[in-house]
Amino acid sequence: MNLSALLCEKFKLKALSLLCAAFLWLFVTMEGTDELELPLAVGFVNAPEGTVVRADSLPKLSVTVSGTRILLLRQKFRGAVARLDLAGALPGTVEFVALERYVRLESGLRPLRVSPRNVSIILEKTSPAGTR
Amino acid sequence: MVDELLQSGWLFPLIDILLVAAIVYRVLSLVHESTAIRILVYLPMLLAASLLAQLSGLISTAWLLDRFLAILLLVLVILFQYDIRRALLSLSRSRVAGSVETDHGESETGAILEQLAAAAFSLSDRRIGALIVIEREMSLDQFMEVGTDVDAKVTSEIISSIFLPYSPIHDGAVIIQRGKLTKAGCFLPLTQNLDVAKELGTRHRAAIGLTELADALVVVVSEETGSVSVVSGGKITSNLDPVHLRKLLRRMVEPRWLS
Repeated sequence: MNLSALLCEKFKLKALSLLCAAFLWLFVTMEGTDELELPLAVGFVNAPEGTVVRADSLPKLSVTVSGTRILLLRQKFRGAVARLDLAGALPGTVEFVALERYVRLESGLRPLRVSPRNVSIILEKTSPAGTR
Repeated sequence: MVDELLQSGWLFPLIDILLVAAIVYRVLSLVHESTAIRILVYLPMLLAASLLAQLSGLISTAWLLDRFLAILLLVLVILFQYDIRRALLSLSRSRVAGSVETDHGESETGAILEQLAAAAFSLSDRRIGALIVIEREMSLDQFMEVGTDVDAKVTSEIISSIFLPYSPIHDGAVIIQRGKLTKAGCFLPLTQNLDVAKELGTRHRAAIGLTELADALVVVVSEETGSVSVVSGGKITSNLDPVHLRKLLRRMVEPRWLS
């Protein structure tokens, strides 16, 4: 029996078996765990009235995330955000340590490390021009 | 090309996929093609749906599909239990085919089938029910555990006397293997098919049940009507006259015995 005849025999079943195997591979691969480094965006909450974070005081941050590949893919689309709470902060330098604690991720994912791990930001009073 | 694949990191995933495809194909080749295709259409759909649900954040749908996929193998075994049973039984096919005695000439096989047809119509004339199983390629050993050993030449007289109501082994089926009457009083599995006509009794249901699982041919003589039927592959051909029965037996049994 030549190769083409061998392939043509029960072709539908063979093609579907291949498709099934490919989907199974994709599924198993996506269910496997991995690590992914993502740029970390920072959002500030509860900033005291009349203060603003100096834009150039924040370094470029990245976070390494661990979890299933499918969730990592989803997180990659959504991006990673750390919410820093400025409640009670006074104008000047404010230091945040162990930034992993502030990273918000999809359930099932966990932040392994943030680089840099600690950041200092400068909180400035807003200029009085615009105020009465 | 292999170097390129190796460098790109796709060689082993490709081998992995091809190996799994070969295993899936081999396993599903054992069941009916239509059943296999149904499984093969639904399985990738479920896998894709589960991935999509996770990707789009449909948490409960993803959870449900994940749990379903985890027990899918069990579900498939339950759904296709008859196909799987038939497939497992068919594994013994080659063993029997290899051991078929080929010393039956065409004339001798014809004579055996002639005796069989004569017995069926002799019993039919007297309204005596009978169940005669003829083994073809697939072994029937597992259905013969309960029966009584006979090991006799197939003659109309022996078959008729076995089914006489006062015979201690008249209940059940006789089995003809490789041109010999080997067992009597064997109990066959009843069909679970709900579409079988209500007027068919236990004898006919047993014949259908066996032929759903094995490639045997069964001759049934109805006790009520005296009609002679032949059952093969779960399908029944009823109200046969002697000419048609002989033709059918020659067509369906002779080539297998002579191969």
